[in-house]
Amino acid sequence: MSASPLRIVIMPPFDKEFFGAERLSLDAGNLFELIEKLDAQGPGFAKIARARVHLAVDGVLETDWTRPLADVREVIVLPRVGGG
Amino acid sequence: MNAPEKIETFRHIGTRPVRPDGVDKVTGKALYGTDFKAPGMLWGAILRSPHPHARILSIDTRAAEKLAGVKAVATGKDLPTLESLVMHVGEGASDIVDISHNCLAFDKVLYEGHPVAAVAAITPELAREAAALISVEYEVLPHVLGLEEALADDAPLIREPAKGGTGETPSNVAMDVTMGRGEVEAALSGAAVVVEGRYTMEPVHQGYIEPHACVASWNGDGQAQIWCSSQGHFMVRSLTASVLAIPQSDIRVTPLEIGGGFGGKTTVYLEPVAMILSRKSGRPVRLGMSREDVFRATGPAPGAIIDVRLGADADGTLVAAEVTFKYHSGAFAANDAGAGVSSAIGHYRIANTRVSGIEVLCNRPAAKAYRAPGAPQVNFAVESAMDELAIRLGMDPLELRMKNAARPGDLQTSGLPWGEIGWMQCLEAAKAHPHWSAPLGPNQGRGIAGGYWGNYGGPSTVNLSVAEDGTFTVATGSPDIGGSRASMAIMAAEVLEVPYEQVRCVVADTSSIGLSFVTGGSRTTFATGMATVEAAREVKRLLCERAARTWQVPAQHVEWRDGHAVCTSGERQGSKMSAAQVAGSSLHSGGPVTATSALSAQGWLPGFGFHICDVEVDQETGHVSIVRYTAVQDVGRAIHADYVEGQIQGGVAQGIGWALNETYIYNKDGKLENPGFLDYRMPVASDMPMIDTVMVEVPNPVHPYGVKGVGEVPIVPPLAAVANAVRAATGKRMRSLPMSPDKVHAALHGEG
Repeated sequence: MSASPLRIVIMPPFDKEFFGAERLSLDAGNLFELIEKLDAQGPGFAKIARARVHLAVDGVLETDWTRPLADVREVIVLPRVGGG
Repeated sequence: MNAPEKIETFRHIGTRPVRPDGVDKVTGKALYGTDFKAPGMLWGAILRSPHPHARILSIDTRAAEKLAGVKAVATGKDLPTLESLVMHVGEGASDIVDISHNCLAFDKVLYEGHPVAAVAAITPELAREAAALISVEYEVLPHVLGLEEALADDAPLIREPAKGGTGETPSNVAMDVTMGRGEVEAALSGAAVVVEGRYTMEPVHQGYIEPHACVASWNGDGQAQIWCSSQGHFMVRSLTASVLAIPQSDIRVTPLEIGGGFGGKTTVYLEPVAMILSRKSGRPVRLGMSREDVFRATGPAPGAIIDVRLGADADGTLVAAEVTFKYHSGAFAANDAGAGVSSAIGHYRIANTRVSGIEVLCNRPAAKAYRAPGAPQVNFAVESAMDELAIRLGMDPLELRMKNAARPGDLQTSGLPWGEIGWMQCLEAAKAHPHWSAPLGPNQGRGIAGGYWGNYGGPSTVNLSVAEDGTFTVATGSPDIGGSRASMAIMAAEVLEVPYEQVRCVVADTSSIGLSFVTGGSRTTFATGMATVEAAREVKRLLCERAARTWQVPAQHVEWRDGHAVCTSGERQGSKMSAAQVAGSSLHSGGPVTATSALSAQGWLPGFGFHICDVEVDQETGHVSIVRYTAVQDVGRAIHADYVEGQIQGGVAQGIGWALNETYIYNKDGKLENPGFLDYRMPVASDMPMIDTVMVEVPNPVHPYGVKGVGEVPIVPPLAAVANAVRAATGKRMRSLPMSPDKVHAALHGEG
């Protein structure tokens, strides 16, 4: 668990689609737990997260959602982009 | 130009060995999707909708079923009813219900060519005859193809209500993404110079040479096999299992050689249908598309309407950018808008930005990924506007770009900082290239444009095994589209310090290797390469350990040098064992030597490219010839230099086709009138000059050999580079693609 609440930045379209906000503050031990807590605030978010969401931890994309968040200040929730 | 000198510090990295799949391909022995045949195989045919939008009232299959030699008939009712589930196993997220309904329409057809029913018979002729006997009663509905028409208040709704739209009124908006920061309007108001314009283009197809084809065999015990070419056989397994609601482990997908994909083979069209026909008939069933089918029913890149406003100070400093675009989504929700927003203006430092994009449903095939999906469209608009801005400012267009270029640490549109990007190095290399200062001839003009693509990493599995004779086999789960077998062999040989020919690479089926994501997002050399290096390092460690045990010395006394385990101290100092010697006695030293690496690769970095294009415009006909082209790109580090150059040249060729020739032509009834390569004009060799490539190497510090994805970036800048060259040659700004001779002629002679 982080020492102080994490700053969660919600990028479009998820801000309007699920949360009605661009900024949240949450505690979470790792990114899986963060997804659970975000789902509680925006029901249905967890269901689409793996398919549509990228998470950036302190400015760097992180695909290992078991990563501990103890020393993390900010997580950005942004759309996952596909390639060709 | 050649790769930088530092490449020479490697044994194999950056070299150009003969591709291991080359002989089979040039001699016609290679087994592609359309070549595969199974014993007792039936031939399938698909009945497609003649209407772009209609309700299916009834389907009568009795006449087809009575035809002698017909063994199975299927319709959408044969597919299980599924709950909505958004999956990301191809390229971009898709709802499995949409994928299912795209394989076989359920109650509505949404585009001309939408599959309605399928037949399996003992000959292809019988299958086609039987398909023609299926009687479908339609209620024809109003259709819509154009973006603005689809957004009109009275537009026919493709789905009711459209998901992800405004949430207020049903519309054809399928996705709405906005990013940005700062005060755009205020900054534009205060800018010394503002340029604005609307840019448009029609959808274009990926144009892969090999049409989609597969063979499926579904046994009575529930186990099935599929043979097909795709950009990801694990994707085929996952989507087919999900559409059919069966366990993935019951399907074994064997990848065949692929004749091009470019993003268009990152979904399933035929495989679930062939499975249903196989289950009904009890025999293997082959389904294949004709070229017409490919054009009518598989996903193109979206067309677009893009509005751009750029503002700059008098010294050329960009102060604001606003980009608003609409993309064709086609019949189902597509994903390009998200990437379009991310790829529009991030290559410049701009304090005030707003980029908005929407996906618009319409009665066309569902858009699919096409090489840097979503990026070339917005880049065409932004880089054309940059050209216009340079003209208005009286600045050199290259200097304008260098002045505003994003550097490592600058923020992207998403708010994330750029990593070790090589954008400035590309601009500097272009400025130093002789092309930039070469003289031009009559009716010629020079255009430039730059762009980028984010690339990707993700899951890959590699198994590296040592044969008894000391040769190595790398098995991956990544289909080889751009030469990845050679690249993996090079990286493994580099780690193992053995000749390239001592390492062979194969693409293993879904039951023989662990999960691997699609070959897309320019990820394979990066991600699967990481796994290959990791597996090779482990094999090297195992070989050293076996040698140490053989010599009865501590493991730390043995090192791998020049393809041998070498004892470095003690009584056995100087003893050597080759891989053949270690592996040859593996039966008596602990068993076979093999290692598996399974990882989800992180730390990918984007690629940046900068292109210089010279055109010559025929004033009489409006025909545009590309007379010289140079593509500069940050490639991280080139593993197989020929393949990297080939990727750059291929992307440029496709981009030139997009710029000058390619377009879908629909008639007033919503039917495609040019579903073939004669009328859908892709570039051919005689249209092209030699495309010069400059590989700038700014290595990715996270990858063991510095790899960045290279395959998608090169299609991003050509659209604007060509348009800017036409502007330079004629004084006419072409804002609508393609710049076909009739349009250019009209612009030159005042008809447009």
